[in-house]
Amino acid sequence: MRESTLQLVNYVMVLALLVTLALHLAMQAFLGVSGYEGALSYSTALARYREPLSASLLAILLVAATYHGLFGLRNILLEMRSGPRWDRFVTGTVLGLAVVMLGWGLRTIVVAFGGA
Amino acid sequence: MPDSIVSVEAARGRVEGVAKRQFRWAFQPPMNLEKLALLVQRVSGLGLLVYLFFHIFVTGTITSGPAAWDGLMGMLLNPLAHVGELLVVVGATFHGINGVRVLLLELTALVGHPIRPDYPYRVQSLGKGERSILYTAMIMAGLALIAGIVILWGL
Amino acid sequence: MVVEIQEPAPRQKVHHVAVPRQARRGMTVLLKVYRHNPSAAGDKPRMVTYRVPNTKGLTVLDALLWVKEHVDPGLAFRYSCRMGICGSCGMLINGKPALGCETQIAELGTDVVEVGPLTNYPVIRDVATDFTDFFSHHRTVRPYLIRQEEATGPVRRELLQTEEEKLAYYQFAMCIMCGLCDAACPVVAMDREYLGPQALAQAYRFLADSRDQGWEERMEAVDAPHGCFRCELAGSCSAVCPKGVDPDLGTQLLKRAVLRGRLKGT
Repeated sequence: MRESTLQLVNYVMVLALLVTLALHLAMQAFLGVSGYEGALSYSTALARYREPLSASLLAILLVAATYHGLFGLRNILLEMRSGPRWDRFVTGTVLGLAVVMLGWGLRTIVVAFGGA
Repeated sequence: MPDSIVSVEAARGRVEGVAKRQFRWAFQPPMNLEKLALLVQRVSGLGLLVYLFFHIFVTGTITSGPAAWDGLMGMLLNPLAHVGELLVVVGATFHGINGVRVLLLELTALVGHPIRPDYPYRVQSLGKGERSILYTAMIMAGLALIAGIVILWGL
Repeated sequence: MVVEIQEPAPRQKVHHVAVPRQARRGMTVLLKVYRHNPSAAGDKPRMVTYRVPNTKGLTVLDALLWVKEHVDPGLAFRYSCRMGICGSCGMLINGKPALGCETQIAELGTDVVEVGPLTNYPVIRDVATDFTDFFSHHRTVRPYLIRQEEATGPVRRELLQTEEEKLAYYQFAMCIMCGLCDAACPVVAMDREYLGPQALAQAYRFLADSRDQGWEERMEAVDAPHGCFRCELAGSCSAVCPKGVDPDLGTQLLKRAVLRGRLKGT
């Protein structure tokens, strides 16, 4: 994958992240009915996963944050050492983390949406 | 002329190490604000990534029923966790707004355009526009800190 | 054929920089220089302070030359034109990358002037550093005009250019390859393979030149994991450039050109 392709995808993810993260923080902190403490109660939290709109928001937030975070980690790690072995190690680690984070996060959203 | 040598002191040679290389540059001149912002951007980014990793697993408990969820929340609703959350919000605010500055500089005319370099040289990429966005990032992070303290400690 | 001579762009308003009024000039200045010969066994890095007679307009380079002539001929540093055009005398002056010939000691305003080798380069001896990586990064971006002679035919006469076309890259052509930008750049400090602000600004200098047809060749070098996208806008390169090249600007324009090309499908 060319570097410019990865960078273009990063720009898209960054824009999505700015919007969804701001909404997520606002929803958790003050847009909810019972404020911050209330937002952490089981029923309020579950409600977020049950409504299609907020569940989609969480899914987009997860994908965007995971891509952007792991892209940044990949760049920082690539700067530390050079050589094809290190490059392969970094790519492998980052893809592995992506699978774990996206996998578990999407599983949570899908299962909670479907009815836990 | 022997009296021209005033003193001889031992000096630190060029110490190279992967760890030191990551931040030593932040303490060497030129100390322009954008370079320091880069250090904070990196540190906050890594911190947020670590937080995200654990956040995905913590929120994953929602599928294990109310007992498991309430148990976990009970463990996590303590002052230390609040400090952690505060750091996350402040870090995310600075990282986001400084990130917008980087985005605008990379993609728009905010960075300037080629000009004829006449002395004294006007450095367009370190201009008033991008500096003001950087100050905005710092101010918003400060406001987020205050808002976070108010919300988390219910003042 | 008559070539129209166009009026140059109007000069920018010159901002007069306030120079601190020279305090009563002392008889001598203290010059603290980093001394180290890595190839001599047992030689340890040290800072040696010399007392140099102060003259009007004394530059750091003048002071180093006085030490070399009167105290220690073994003091190693690079210099040539002594007027800020050859780019040889790049060094750390009071911790900041600067040209020795262009830095007036009186303007520094400190009691002791500290001189050291540029950061991010291996030290050959004392203040002289190894520019091998610097030059190889520069060569990687193919810093010469590339023409596709099979497509457009061989060049038989001058390639004409308007004033606007020249201004699109002229600023970046002012680079004297002094290496101060690479010394100041945090990414160069962290990443040995990063092309660096100098090479990236020169890549843009050729990309933006209307006479150049070497887009493909340069893309390979620049659109790479250690290419232009590793620049993180610390801006230190432009803060230290002695010629107003603004490599930070060049690198961001390069990123935009690469992305635009990518979206168009090249």
